[in-house]
Amino acid sequence: MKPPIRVLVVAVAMGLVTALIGWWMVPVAGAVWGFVASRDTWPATTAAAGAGLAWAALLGWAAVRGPIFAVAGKVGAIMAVSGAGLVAIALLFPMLLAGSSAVLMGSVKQKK
Amino acid sequence: MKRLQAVGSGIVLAALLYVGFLPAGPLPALGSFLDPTDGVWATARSATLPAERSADVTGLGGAVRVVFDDRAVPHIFAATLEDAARALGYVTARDRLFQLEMQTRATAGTLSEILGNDLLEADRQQRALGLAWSAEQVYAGLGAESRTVRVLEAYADGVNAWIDALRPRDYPLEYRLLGAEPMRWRPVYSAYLIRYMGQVLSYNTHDRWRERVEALIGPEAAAQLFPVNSPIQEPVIPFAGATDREDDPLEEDPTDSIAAVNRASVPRARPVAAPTRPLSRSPAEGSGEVVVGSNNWAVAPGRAEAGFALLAGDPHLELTLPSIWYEAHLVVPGQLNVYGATIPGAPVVAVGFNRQVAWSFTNVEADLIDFYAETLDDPDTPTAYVVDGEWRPLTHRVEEFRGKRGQLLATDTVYFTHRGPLRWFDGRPLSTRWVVLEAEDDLEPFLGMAKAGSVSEWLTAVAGLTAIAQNGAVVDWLGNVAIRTAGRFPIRPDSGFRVLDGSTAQNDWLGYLPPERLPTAVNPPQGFVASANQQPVHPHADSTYFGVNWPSPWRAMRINELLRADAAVTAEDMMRFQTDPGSARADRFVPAFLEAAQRTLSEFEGGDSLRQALALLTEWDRRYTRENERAVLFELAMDELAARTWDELRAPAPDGAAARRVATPTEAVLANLLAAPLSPWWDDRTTPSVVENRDAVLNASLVAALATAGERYGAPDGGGWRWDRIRRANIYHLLRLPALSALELSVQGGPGTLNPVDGSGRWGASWRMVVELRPEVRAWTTYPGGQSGNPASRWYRDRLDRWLAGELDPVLFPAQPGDLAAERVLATWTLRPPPGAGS
Repeated sequence: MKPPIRVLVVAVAMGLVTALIGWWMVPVAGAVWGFVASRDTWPATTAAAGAGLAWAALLGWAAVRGPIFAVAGKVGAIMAVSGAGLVAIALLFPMLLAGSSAVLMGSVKQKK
Repeated sequence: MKRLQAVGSGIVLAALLYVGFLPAGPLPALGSFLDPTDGVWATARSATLPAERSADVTGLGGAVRVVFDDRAVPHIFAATLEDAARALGYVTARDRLFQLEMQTRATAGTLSEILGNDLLEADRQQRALGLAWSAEQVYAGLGAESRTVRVLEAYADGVNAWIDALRPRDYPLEYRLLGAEPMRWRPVYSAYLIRYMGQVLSYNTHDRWRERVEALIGPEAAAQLFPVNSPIQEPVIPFAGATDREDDPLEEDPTDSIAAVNRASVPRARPVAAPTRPLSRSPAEGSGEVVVGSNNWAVAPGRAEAGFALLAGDPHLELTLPSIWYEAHLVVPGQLNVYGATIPGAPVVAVGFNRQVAWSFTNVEADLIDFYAETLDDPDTPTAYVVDGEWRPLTHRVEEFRGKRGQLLATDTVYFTHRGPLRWFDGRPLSTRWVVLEAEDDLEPFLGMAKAGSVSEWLTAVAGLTAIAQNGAVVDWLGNVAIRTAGRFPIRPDSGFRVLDGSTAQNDWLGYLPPERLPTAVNPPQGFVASANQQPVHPHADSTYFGVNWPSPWRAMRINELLRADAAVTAEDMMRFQTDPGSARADRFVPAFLEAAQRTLSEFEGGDSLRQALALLTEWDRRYTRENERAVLFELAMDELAARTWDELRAPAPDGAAARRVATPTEAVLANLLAAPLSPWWDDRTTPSVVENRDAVLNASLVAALATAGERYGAPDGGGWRWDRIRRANIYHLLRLPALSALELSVQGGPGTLNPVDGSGRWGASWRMVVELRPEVRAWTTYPGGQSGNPASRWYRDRLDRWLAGELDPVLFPAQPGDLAAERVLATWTLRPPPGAGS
């Protein structure tokens, strides 16, 4: 599977588990990907990119249904970051969760 | 290397999971907060109004149409009053759910359950007042068949129908920030709300500070400075009995107990000899008088250009986002067709109009509370108190206070005498008798007002108010105008402005003023009525004790001046008057400053600063426009004048802090004192070698004000003295989060004007309305904020700019849903009984 396809597959999986179960499934999915794709090149990067893409798509869908940038502006101001900064945090958070769990699980598998 | 990578990833993952699952400091748990489907982003969905919606609401007897116009105002068309209340509860919960809960918790003293331990002390004080306890008792006493209970239960059905349909991701932003869930609404919470309004409008501890004043200067001097009757009379009820509107000025040489300041043997000061440096004092003291207040006035057709009765109203309250008001229109064919301002939590229009009448309120600054010093059997664990030599048992209630996780924070025992709750002030047990705690059914009067077909019917309805005392101005379609000071006013054996001896029943209230004695004016010859929180009745017309230390009637004087000068008033005039920058207060005091300076400068050499201050103040037109650059000098001079004149009222704080004024006489008293240039009150005790007179104090105040203005704002013409750079409105979100607030807003108006702005900028015109009762009613409204409580909504603060500009929006007042033009309709919702519920 080519890397872009891999990212897309991971993104679909991440989006589904987030929407159907919850945010905490992102590190679980990342760990699963890290385990099954430990021999691939850059499994953690793929997991992180997939998670970021999934959340970006979900935020995009939310933006269609309501003014999420207004929400970002207000909430960001409360948290002392800009609206764009909050969106960036919202994308970085799943990326780091998925990437770090994939690295961790990959290491565990290799150790075995 | 790989091991290092794994360890690093493990640390990052652990940290992310920690902040994902657990709140960190003020931040909520980030995982669920940032979740793109169920997180904070979901609040964007409720920021818009779905164009169509159909929902089930328990208890509905039939379908209800709710049409939102392009100002997001719901027009509710229901077959019964109860169904209209259900629909109002539903849409109010949609737009103001967090506000509903906060108001309720603020009244009940349970804020710490949602906001945390920091609010514990506030909760304890609130519970000790017994407002929720009082509401519960009264509500329990209402029969299930009463209209009030039916309507309140219906309203609760509507609120809870909205809450029940919410998923956690639909919770308003504030709940997401606090990690809390909405509480269900009980019908009695509406009764809490009216008591909360009563608390805001009538709770005070004047009786206690009166004691301190009397200890400082003696009871007779205190009576001069804090008189029962305002020394300047412009009463609510028009008084034609005397052309001279003022009482006699304060005595030149009072022989009462101001001996402590009577220094007749000390030489008089030269008018320029008083210390002119700004006096050191607490910034909070200012000129001492609360400068906010509500206005209403009504004009008869004979003085209106179009020949139709006009009404204007602008109740002033603390400004918040979302606003205290929620605009709504309720239509029940054959029963009700009322439009106006509702308070979230109460299924009634508080200020508004129907096709026959229009009304608005101002608060009566009456004395509705008394404190009684009680004698207890045991100061630590009391069980009884003395009345007429006999021990009476105290009743008590145990209050438990809980934190955000339900943990017990504290337990208090609240005691009650037959008068009301017992509290300790500086170790002294005082019981409180307060009209608000004895309030009854206040929904019924508002329903009566909403359904009134004439001034006469409306006056009957308003007489039923029990928790709040209000000056209600009203007009009807027949051209009648009237005003009534309504509410419950205690009849006391004596005056009620001191702490009373609780050991004798002779100090207990004798009852309440009967409705037929409520001050009322119907169609007065002058052709208009007006109120602005001033003393309701001229004491020569009715000497009944309503209160003491009335606000200075500057706003009332200005309204009356404007209305007397205009025999062809238009609706546009009425709107313009609401932010009129003119000031009867400045008209009274500025000439005094100018004349004193001129007299002094003509007699004495020197005084360059005084000469400059005189020149600058002379340039002012006495109008508090945004761009004026001289009002600041006058305001600083007024602060100085109060501080210098009332130096006798300064006392060391009990905690050893710097001395500060115990209380400040009203500016009407100060204005009255201007007519007594040699009164001992002018003397400054800090200058023992001389005795100051009026001109000396006026001049010193003006010069000191000039110095302060220069220090704070720079050169007079450098731009720093512009009024809109100094006085701003600050409208805080309910959680006081600056990001959700509207701060540092430029407004027109100042102390004593019809659009007063206090120093904090947190109080002001919470609602503005003008109504012209033509056959097709015309009305205009606005308030600072918007209909939605969702900060991301375009209706969160969409009205703010026009409110700041003093502009009102024309309102739509359709008789039926189809009367609204399609292009003015944002959304049409249908609320139905749940399937199988029958009809």
